[in-house]
Amino acid sequence: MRINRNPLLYITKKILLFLVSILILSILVFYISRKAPGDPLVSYYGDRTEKMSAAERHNTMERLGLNDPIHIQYIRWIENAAKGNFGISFKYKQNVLEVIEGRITNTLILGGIGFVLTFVFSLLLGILCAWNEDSLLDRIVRQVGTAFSCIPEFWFALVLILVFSVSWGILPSSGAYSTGMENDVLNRIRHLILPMAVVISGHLWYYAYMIRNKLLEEVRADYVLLAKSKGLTKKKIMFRHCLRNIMPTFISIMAISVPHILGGTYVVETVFSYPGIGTLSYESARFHDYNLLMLLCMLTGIVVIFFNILGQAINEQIDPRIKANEAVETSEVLSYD
Amino acid sequence: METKTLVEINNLTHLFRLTKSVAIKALSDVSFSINQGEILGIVGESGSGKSTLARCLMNIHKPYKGEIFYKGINICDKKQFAANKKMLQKNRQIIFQDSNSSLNQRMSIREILAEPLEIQKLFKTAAEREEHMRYHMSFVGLEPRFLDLYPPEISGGQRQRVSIARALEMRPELLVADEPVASLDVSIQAQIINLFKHLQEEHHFTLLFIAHDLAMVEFLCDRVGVMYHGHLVELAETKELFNNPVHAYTKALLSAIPVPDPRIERGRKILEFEGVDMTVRHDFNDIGNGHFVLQDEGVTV
Amino acid sequence: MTDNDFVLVGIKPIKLPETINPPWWRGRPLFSAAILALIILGCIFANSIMTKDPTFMDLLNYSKAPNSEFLFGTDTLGRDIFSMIWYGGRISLFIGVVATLISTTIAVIFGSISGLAPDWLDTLMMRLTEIFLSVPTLLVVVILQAILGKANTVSISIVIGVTSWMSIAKVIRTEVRQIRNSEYVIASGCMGGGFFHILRKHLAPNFVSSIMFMVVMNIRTAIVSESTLSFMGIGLPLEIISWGSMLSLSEKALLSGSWHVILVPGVFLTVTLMCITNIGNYLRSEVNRKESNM
Repeated sequence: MRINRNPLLYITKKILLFLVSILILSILVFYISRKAPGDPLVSYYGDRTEKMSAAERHNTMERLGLNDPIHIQYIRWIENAAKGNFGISFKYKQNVLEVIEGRITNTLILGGIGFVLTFVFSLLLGILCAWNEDSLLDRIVRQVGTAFSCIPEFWFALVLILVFSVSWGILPSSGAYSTGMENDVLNRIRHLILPMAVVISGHLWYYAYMIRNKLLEEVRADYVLLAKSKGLTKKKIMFRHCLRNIMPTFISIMAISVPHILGGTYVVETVFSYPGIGTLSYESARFHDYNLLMLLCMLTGIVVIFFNILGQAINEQIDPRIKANEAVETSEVLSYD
Repeated sequence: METKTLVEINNLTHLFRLTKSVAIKALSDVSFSINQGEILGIVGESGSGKSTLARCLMNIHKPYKGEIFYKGINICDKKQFAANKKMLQKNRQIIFQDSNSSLNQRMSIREILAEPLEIQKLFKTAAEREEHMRYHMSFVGLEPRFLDLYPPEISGGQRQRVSIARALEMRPELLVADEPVASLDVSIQAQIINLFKHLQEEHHFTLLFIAHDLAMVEFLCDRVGVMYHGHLVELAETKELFNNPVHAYTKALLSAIPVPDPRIERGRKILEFEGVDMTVRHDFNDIGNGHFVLQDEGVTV
Repeated sequence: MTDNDFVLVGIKPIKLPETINPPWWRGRPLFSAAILALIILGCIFANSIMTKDPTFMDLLNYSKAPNSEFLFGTDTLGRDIFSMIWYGGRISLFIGVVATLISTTIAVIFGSISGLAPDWLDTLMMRLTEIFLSVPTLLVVVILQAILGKANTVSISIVIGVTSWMSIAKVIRTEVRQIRNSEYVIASGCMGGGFFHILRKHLAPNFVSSIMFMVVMNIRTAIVSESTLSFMGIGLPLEIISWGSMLSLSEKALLSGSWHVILVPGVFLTVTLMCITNIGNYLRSEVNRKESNM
């Protein structure tokens, strides 16, 4: 147990890795966004930018601090960020923190509940399939799952809107709540059903299939024979032994997949015009709303990096033989989604 | 005949790093030279650094310390190596112990033999190349029909012949054979050894022959070096070494050779070698007639 | 040799019941391959299939449901969807293939270098790969494309290509690391074989089979990425017809209730993706089918 020899050092190392990764990410995003073609003033003044004279443009750019060399701008940004000041959004003309304040809860609701439900459903489905290996049910679930995993998320969302909102008119097609009903839980739930269905269906099959395969691998181990010869029932073997054995791996995989489910949420948000940070980051990137983009990228990056390091750490704790660089082997398969 | 030095090795040391702070010394302070046209045998138990020596000679490993001069070119020096790369890669060839892994199983014998010729662009037309390959196949005792087979389809002895053909078709000056017969049956071993002797007489290449079988070395080699724990402990002409071993390890090694006569064999005593402390400083001394022995510092015979 | 010869040398042959070879199509994704071939052929020969000019905006006949004149109906701009499908399929498939070519090339080079490199460089390169791998590809593509602004077929292929090479590179690196110490690779190096020679002759034949599946799946991912981007309005503009850019009209279509504008391109997209997936799954070597102990 090499890692546990000095837990303090281990944790310090991980935190350091986390901080360095975030620093690199911030530099990358900052540089790419400023270098990319496009006029940041458009997001500030809209169509009025076209009528501006060169001098006016220069003055405005000067005022927004956009004329300085990039590294100066970056250092200024970092200094301000350290004080908790992330600048103002060019588009919304208020502090970026205030802009995302209302939105972040919406994303957390959609992503969080979506994540938990994906987790639970895939576990149930995976056990069900492994239990009835190669039965009709197993095969049907696998076929449906493969088919579903091929459907692009945004198109599935469109079809759901077409069926449930346009044709039948039973569920709302956009937003997080109807106007003025912000605190009506039922109304919020009705708005959540369709986006949630898309978020879950995009990932459910993949994880269910993974659990099924892991369980089937486990079922083929020799200790199952021993347990069986001791007279344990199938149920006990499955839940007490097999499931318990695959749980740690599964949890670490789920930790690593948080960013992927989050990524799916972002796409879903734009289709349903769901007021979350997904729509916002897309907008800010498109309209060169630098400060907003930086904050959102940093937030997303923090989540991604945090859960990655967490997943690795869990993996290393489960099996000290796995070195850090091998632990992510599990995440390799994730890139198909 | 005047003997010319082909390879000179000075204080060659090589380390294998196990972790950041732990390393093992595979070669320590090995110095000797190989004469043009001779067969030099290197013997020693497994782990004594024979293969490392061969691989350093072929630039597979970069030595930790020391120099290797090939015809006066320091091949451990990056610049000198790069300047003479082409010549060195053509003139030095190696044969590995396990023909199973030294031939790519996905390539036919023809492709295997063609590979070095293609890399070095030795022939202009495919017909010439084919002719050359057939010639060398027959030279090592294989029929041309083998060209279309794949390594798993032929026997170990035949595979090793293919390896030899692959090395010899480049017409090397120096051939390094890293235990070329160790993975073969005894009867095949004899065939291959005879082949080496025959080929060397025809081609006059210099052969560094690495083995752990003393009898084979006695039969084949002009000079023999004995390695122990990364040190070259004794080096002499074959007759001299076998008749007059000096180092304790060599003596023990020689005493272990079985004798064909059972009456003598029964009474034969195998000397025990307790091992010497290799950490103290040693000198590699010439004790006359080109007989070198590793001795504790200051000891003279 | 006949049975008699065996008897002569003292071997008693036993007659085994005739084994029936399973038909050759068993277990092969023929159906998927056929449909995919149909779609691809349709796209290649789009010019002879198309009934209308796919770019022509027939302002009198916009948002028409499918009928005998417009087989799949028209979109909200009055363009004939049937013609657009074949015409646009070219772009979608093209982007899928080109992006995959780009990512596979990067993966092969990166993976082989990492596999052959000394340990410290290998660790560094793999760490880098893992960092890239942990970020959801689609998210990066969306942000990157949104920042870069105007897209065309080539630029979008490049953006998708350079963001999706990581998992293939990892597999290649693992395979290369396994065979890089084989003596035949060392021997090739001694003969003077350079990096690309060793890669082509010795390494590639070994990893081709294991990355085939991932390469095929990469085409799928690339097509999805393109359509998602175009749908969101940051991929291909409306004038460049692809299945994705056709779907970018879906918001308007939802308002006018013209379901075919959404369904037709989507169905083509999904069917293509399913066929590719089935073929990909076939290429993936069978998992060890050991008997269950339960």
